Amino acid sequence: MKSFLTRKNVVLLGGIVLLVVLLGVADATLNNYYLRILQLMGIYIVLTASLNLTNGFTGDFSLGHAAFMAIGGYVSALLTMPLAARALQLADLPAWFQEFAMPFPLATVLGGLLAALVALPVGLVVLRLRGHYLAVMTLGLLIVVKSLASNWEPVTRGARGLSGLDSATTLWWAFGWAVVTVFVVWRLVHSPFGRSMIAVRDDSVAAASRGIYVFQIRLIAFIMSAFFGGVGGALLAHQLTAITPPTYSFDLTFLIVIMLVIGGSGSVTGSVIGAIIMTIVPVILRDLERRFELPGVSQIIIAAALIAFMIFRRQGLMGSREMHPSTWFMKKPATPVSVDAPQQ
Amino acid sequence: MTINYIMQQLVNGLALGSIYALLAIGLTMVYGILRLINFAHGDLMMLGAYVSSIFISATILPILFAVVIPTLLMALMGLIVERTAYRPLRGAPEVAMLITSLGVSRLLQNSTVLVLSPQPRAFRLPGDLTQTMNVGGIRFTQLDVLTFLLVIALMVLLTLYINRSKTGMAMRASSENLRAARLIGINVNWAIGAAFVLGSALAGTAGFLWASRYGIIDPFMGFLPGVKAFVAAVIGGIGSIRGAVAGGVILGVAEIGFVGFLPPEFSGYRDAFVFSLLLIVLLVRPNGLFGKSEVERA
Amino acid sequence: MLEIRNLSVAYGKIVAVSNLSLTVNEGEIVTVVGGNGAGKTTTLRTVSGVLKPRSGEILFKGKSMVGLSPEAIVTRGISHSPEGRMIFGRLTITENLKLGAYNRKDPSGVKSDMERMFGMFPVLEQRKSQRAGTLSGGEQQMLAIARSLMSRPNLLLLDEPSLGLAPLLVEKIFDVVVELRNEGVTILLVEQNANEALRISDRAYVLETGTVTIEGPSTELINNPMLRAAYLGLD
Ligand SMILES: Nc1ncnc2c1ncn2[C@@H]1O[C@H](COP(=O)(O)OP(=O)(O)OP(=O)(O)O)[C@@H](O)[C@H]1O
Ligand SMILES: [Mg+2]
Repeated sequence: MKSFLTRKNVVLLGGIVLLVVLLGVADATLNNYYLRILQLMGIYIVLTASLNLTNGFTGDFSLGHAAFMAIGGYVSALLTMPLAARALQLADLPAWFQEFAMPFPLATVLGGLLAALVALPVGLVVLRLRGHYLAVMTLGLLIVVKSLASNWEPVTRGARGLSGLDSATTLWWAFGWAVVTVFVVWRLVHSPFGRSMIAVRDDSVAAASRGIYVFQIRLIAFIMSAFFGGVGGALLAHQLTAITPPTYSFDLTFLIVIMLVIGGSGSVTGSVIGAIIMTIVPVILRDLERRFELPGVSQIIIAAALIAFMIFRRQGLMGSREMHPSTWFMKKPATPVSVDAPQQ
Repeated sequence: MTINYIMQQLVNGLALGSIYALLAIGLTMVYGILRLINFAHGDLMMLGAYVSSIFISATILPILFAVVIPTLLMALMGLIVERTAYRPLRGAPEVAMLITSLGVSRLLQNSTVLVLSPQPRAFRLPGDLTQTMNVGGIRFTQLDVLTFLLVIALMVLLTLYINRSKTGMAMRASSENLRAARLIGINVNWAIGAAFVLGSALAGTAGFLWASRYGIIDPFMGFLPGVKAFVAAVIGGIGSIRGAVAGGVILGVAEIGFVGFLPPEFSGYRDAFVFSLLLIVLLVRPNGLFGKSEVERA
Repeated sequence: MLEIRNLSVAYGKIVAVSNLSLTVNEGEIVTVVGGNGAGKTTTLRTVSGVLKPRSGEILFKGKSMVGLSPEAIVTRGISHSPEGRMIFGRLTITENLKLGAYNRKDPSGVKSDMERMFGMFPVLEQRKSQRAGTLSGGEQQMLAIARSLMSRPNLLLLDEPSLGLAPLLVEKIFDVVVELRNEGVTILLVEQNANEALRISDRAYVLETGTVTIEGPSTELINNPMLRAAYLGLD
């Protein structure tokens, strides 16, 4: 009991209660437009925090997050699709498939698992590369997955996509998964495993010589990242209620990368902050774009901001530091409080 | 499947491959020196295509203007991009440069959207260029001939420049060992600028060729060809100009062959095929088909 | 000719050189010895303008060199033959030499200097149109020195020219160094091969963890018992 009621846990609990209250208020008062933006925010937190595992922590710069999202999205959509819509859209699939509709939460998890399953062989191959080649190959993975989505007519319906899904992604699911993702990533990163990840990123040769299983670490990070990517894709599918191949485009990967870069790759809280900011900013910019009829301006501003970040604040807003809510309420500036202090 | 059909596909493959080769040269020069994948390179081709589309309707010498002006303007554009976006990142980690180039790519695409329109527009060649000729059963257009002549001429000129000029020598030295080049007093910024200028000029030419081949241009047309051209450069052996040309041609022929000789339901997978090719090359011959092994570099 | 005052250089948080002072007078050969990681290479690279000092002064012919670009420093008369040679293996020997003269504007002078280098190192002339990567280690070292001489330096920075060479070649390299000095080039020589280096040099500095611990005329240092034990492999 004593060990549970540490300041940290109290703050954590308080934070979650506060989040629940805020979400409850938002859910009750906001109109659909704003609710959808908030849902997206939750989804983007899932995606950015998980991409951070590879791009931020093991230093494997992936451009393929949207590939795993697509897998999670299509798989979950196939599993949950209401029977009526199924009979209409997927008549070519076998009879057993026409007879069940899986509950959304389970389908989300399965979507994530399948993404992770695909990440295993893919990772075994592409993680033999590093740096630029890895980036290009993960971009290639995205293109392969997109080709499949566009061409595997009986299952994905090609360019027409899958529609008529339940609008199952509520605020609660989006933020529920966001909390789970952030929690898992945080625990992982601040475990011995996480320190190994950072060692691998900073100097893989030295890490290997210290007995760290470099490849395994990178592979596990890649798979974990893919799992949550798949979950995020499933959430997105059931927010949009319809998906087509362009839903999971390079633009989406790029947006997540921007969120991570601006927040600070290598910082869990940074990735959350990046996701929050880059959910809101484009909404405002697009609004202005429409009002002044200047198509493209929002993207121009975001791209310019990204370049400016790279030139003037490469480490993003947070760098590799973390924001510790548990230290906000202390009088003195905190010396590294616990094992959770980020290791440099 | 007749021999004529095969030759026909070969002509098409070579034509596409020549465009990849033009793009790959710029990518390989820049990568060789800076270890930067310039994701914005294909977007320079797109800009070149738009510039070209303005001059293709000129009343006098439309082809000349439609080739030369985008080439020159993109040379300038490449220099501007290098100075403003990439130079401040000298010495930064690879990933920072890569992200920046993605940003530049977005910036160029959406600036085109803003200034012109997101809608595709048609690119109409003067009629005689699209006329088909028939030599021994193989049909090709004047455009095909122009493409090959242009690409060969540009490659000869470039190779001469790289091998004979002082700047070319500095570029080769910088590509082999940038730190050593700096240390012995080579103006590496000049060499880097030259790589961008030359590469971007070729991207401008490629813009004309791509637009005339496909007849339609849009602000987002450049990204994928740019990435594929990088694939070509890697296949040929990154850092080597000859490798870029070979890789471009191989990729173009392979891609057209994939579409032309497999059943039609496979043609949707042509982009996937390109990346599978890259993966195989990277795993089997990481230095590319014609790349030098690290040992040889001394 | 060269005066380094209170120089400090760091790679990020790693301080490699701290508060180092060192002088080279015109016409001298000055040796710097020191263990691995003592900061010798870092010092030379800072003089060449490749690294920026954190603090301190570098004066050459009385003028500050800090903040100048490497090519500006080469133009002012300092040339650097780097550790590990760093010749351009895929370029020909002639091209390597031409690049050494990159900033010169007198083609005829460059040409005659090239001949001079071929006179000094006949093996380079025999193979002048071959790729430099095909040269042996010792020949590559000669090419590196020749390349750095192509800018007509007043001061030559030599970083471990004898590294990895057979004894006979080491002799040859040191002969060349003396010959160069006799031709009027001032030389700052970094060597692990301290014995030989001290024998041909006028003065010497001992570096430890980024700072000068002993300095004096070479003849004195050769007999310094501490030095003999630590760097000369004697006793
Ligand atoms: N690029 C670099 N980044 C970080 N640290 C460096 C770098 N180069 C050198 N160092 C560090 O700076 C210190 C001085 O290195 P330097 O190369 O100047 O030593 P040195 O005296 O030339 O050694 P050696 O005799 O082995 O050549 C060392 O601790 C080294 O690890
Ligand atoms: Mg050294």
